[in-house]
Amino acid sequence: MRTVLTIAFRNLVQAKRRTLLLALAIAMVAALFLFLRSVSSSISERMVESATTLSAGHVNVGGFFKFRRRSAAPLLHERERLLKEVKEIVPEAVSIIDRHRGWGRLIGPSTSINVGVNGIQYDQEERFFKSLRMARESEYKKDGGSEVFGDFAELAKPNTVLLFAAQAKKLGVSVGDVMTFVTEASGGQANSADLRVAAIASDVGFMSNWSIFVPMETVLDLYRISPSTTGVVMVYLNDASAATAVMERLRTDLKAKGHDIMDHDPNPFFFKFEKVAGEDWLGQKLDLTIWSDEISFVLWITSALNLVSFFVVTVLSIIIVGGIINAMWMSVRERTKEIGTIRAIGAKKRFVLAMFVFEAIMLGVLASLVGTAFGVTSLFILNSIALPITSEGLRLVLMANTLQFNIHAGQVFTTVLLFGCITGLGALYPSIKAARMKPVDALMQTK
Amino acid sequence: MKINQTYKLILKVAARNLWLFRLRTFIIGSLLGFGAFLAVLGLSLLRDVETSMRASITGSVVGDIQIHSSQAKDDLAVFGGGFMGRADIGTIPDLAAVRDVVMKVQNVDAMIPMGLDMVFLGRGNELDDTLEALRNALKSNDQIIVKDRVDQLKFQLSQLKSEIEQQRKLTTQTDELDEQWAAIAQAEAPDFLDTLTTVDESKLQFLDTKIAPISGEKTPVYLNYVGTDITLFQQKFPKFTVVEGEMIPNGNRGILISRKFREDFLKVMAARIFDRLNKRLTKGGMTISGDPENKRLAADLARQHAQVMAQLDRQEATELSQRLSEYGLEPENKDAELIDKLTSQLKSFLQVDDDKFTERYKLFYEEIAPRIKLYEISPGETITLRSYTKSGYIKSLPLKVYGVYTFTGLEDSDLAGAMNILDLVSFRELFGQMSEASKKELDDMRAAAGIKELDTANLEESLFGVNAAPVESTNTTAAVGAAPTIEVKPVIDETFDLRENDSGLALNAAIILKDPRKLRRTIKDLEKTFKQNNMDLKVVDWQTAAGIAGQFVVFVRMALIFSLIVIFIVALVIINNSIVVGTLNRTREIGTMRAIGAQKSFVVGLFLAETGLTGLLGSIFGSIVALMILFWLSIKGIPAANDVVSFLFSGPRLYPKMRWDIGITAPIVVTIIAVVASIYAARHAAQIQPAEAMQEKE
Repeated sequence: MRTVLTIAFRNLVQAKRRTLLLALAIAMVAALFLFLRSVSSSISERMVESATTLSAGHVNVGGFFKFRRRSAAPLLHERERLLKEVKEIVPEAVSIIDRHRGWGRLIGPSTSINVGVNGIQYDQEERFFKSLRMARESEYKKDGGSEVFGDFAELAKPNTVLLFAAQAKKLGVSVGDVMTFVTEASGGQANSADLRVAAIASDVGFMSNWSIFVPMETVLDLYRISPSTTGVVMVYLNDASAATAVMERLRTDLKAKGHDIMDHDPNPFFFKFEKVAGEDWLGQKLDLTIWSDEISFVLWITSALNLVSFFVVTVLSIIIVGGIINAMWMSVRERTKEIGTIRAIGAKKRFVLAMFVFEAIMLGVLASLVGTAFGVTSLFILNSIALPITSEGLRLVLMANTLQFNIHAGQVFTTVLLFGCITGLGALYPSIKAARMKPVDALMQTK
Repeated sequence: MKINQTYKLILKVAARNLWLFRLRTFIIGSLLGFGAFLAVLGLSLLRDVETSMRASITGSVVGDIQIHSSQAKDDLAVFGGGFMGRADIGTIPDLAAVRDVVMKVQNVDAMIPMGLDMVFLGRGNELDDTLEALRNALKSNDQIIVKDRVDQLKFQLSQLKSEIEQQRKLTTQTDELDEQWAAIAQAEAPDFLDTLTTVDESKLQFLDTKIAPISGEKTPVYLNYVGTDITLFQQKFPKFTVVEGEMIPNGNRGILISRKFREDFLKVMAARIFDRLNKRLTKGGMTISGDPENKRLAADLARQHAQVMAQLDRQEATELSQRLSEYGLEPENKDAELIDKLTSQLKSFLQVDDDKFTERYKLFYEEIAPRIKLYEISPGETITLRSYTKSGYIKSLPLKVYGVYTFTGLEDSDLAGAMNILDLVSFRELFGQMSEASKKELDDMRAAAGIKELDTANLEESLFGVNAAPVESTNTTAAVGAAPTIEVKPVIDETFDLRENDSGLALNAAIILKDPRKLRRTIKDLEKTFKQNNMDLKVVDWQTAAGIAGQFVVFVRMALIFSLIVIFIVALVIINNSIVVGTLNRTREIGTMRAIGAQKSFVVGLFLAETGLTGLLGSIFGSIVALMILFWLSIKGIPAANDVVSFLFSGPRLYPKMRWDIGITAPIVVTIIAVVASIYAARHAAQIQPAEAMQEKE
């Protein structure tokens, strides 16, 4: 085995130029491959992060209350009971919180925006505030400095609001300003509240444009609803992939406790109003979802992106395999005599095969190491520059406002592994050919 | 002559070498062919998508170019930007002046003034309808019908009571619920409804003002609209067609509802689910049992009987029950009351599976649809639009629905179907700008109230301070009783002076070009003209004006071109690499050639010819395959797998065109790139000295 490796390595070193050229190609593709993977995984991660920070727990116990036959409200009564039951059913949850949800218009001095309003209880939301970062003044004000104003803890007080940087910039407000929030409803009534900006957080992807956070009692006041109600109970788990199983457990157990539960519909709650309004029942039904359901309307971006990167990577792999076959073929032709000699002095076919394959794998691994190193460095540089993205379409697709991508050690490792395999596979055919050659024929070849 | 011979020789030798190194030729040829294949297919499809996108954007509402104030705080995004809600794009205060300037610019065909906004659609409540039917019955003095209506009202009152019971679980405002309860009790009292046989105004008023509001409105629906000079709009957007009802007569105020919007948001839910399933089954080629979403839709459909039921009166219900029985859908209990009987029939009717779907779908449109109010809004009706003004007050405007329209060829496009169309004067009212008539009225009131001067920002508040009356509010979503809100009800005529279309305020304007190909130049001309005339106007092309939707196409194009470039670079590096390696192997051969008198240029030429030939053969083959696939697709069409794709395709299927220009250019470009890329390798080979080469050991 050691001999094989030594010979393979020696061959690589000897054919300096060829090795370098092929290595360059492999390194480039490896770097690109890593880059593509980093982009697509960053987007998925950000999507999960945005979703679970802004609008959903890993599992959500929401639902609708129909107090009219023709409409549906995203409300649940008997809040305490529900919270207690969910806690009993999911003892392994990291945290279980509840929020109220509403919709309205936030009116700033320069313009107004429509946003979803989330009623939160400050002391429940440790996880939420931990994942947010306060925005520097420059993120929402033209000539703003790098200071940070406001305090998340202010949200414990009534009639305060947490905005995100892009919203504050658009509305033209700073921490401490007071703005009006109006619930919008077609019936014509509008309830309003004056909200003081308690803090401005950095944007969480693109979706933070659509949400604001206020103390729960403010939402109760706005809609004149009783404090014994809630909007949604969010369950956070250690392992997001267990979400579906936990949801199913909640479904069975809550049903056993006498709740009516809607069939699973993997869409956010605001897609379901019309459907529920058309149904013939009064009272309350629970609607259980997992985090990805609540952002189903943007999930196509990840799947589209995965499709594109899968396609590009497949095409690139085909090209690389082609190149490797070609290069190895050359190398075999060039060294026919050598092969003949080795075989003549007693080397087995398997030895020759192993020699060539290992040569290719070694080349692939070394080259992709260089390539991934280059890829990691350039991503690192890109991240430290944090180029702002100006196109809104691009922002939506990349789920971010700056050009920054995450990278994981696992991705680097699997890239190197994959390229080792690809080059090894590419070398297989010419190597088999070489190994099959009769020593006599090989020695006889003049070229 | 000599040169010619050299070329011939080069080609001959090159061809021989290619044959000699068959495998290498094959691999490099397929790589280049694959590149050409991808380029032809990808670029053709991209252009198809862009063309259909462009058609649906420019052909509907946006036009080729949009202009708006450069004072705008937000970008103009006709089909929505990154935030929800009304974008502040400034105003064009005086259309007449702008039009004078714009129409002088070369290549401008028309300027269509516009005002874009999003408003609430006021959705009537159930009791209003019942009460109106009762009033009509009383007027006609047909006691049998009166009895029927009264029974219906009694039933609804009992439902209201159960609704109030439900509300108690949620609300903090129990006082209000007690009042409502008392009012219902009063209406249910023995001497109230039973003795209602004539038009008794005091009783009817009590029902209208105390009882009807309790039932509340339905879930709110946003309505996007563009206010415009409709006659001009019709002339300049030839795809615009009124498909139901009539065109708004010139000089009348009114609204045309988009067919797509009506189908998607204003249709009875059961019909919407039927349509959606039908589309997925017939066009998507799916089955109900084989697709989880279809299964879910079918399950949802089965629950939507109540809405259908609520729309039928006694006679229609009897007929329908009979018809359904004829189709073999017998009620569970034949002796049950009509409502229960029909409900059980409808329930089983709406339970569909793969075998029954086609029949039920047909039956729904033949038997049920004609008997119910299939759409919430139909031509001839008057609807109420409510807009929230900047300071949070509500303005509401009643408006007659004249017709339903669509853009021919873009019936399924989400973009083209997003906008409803109303006249410019109604837009100004909703926006908060007063018409000449309202202005005069306000002036009179101002004079009466002794107010001297008002700045525009205070106009609506002052108007509301003087004019408005508190309107008892009802509630929709979760709110139970709201703070009294004050509506600003403009008093304007059904008709207006046509001159209002030519002057006054708009938010933006579409510009239609005589020759859309000269888009860039015309944009420059317009910008120059506005500058010369000191007009604060911004000029944007259709793609930018469309907002996120337009940018999305840019993104798709960028992604495709980026992947193509990546693929090409990698392919070229590999090709270059194999050529260099190839030369190393052929050192002796080259040395020999040089020794027997071949020039360096001959060697370079030989290598370039080899790559050129390989590239040409491979890429032509790739291109032919791509064109063949395109040809096949142009007949079959590509089905849009999901909503996003159907948005990109602007329809349920994309029929690509065979793009000969791309099919021919791509192989040429691929070959040229391949040849250029192999120059390094060829020159490297030519550097080989004859002597050195011959000495080489191997």
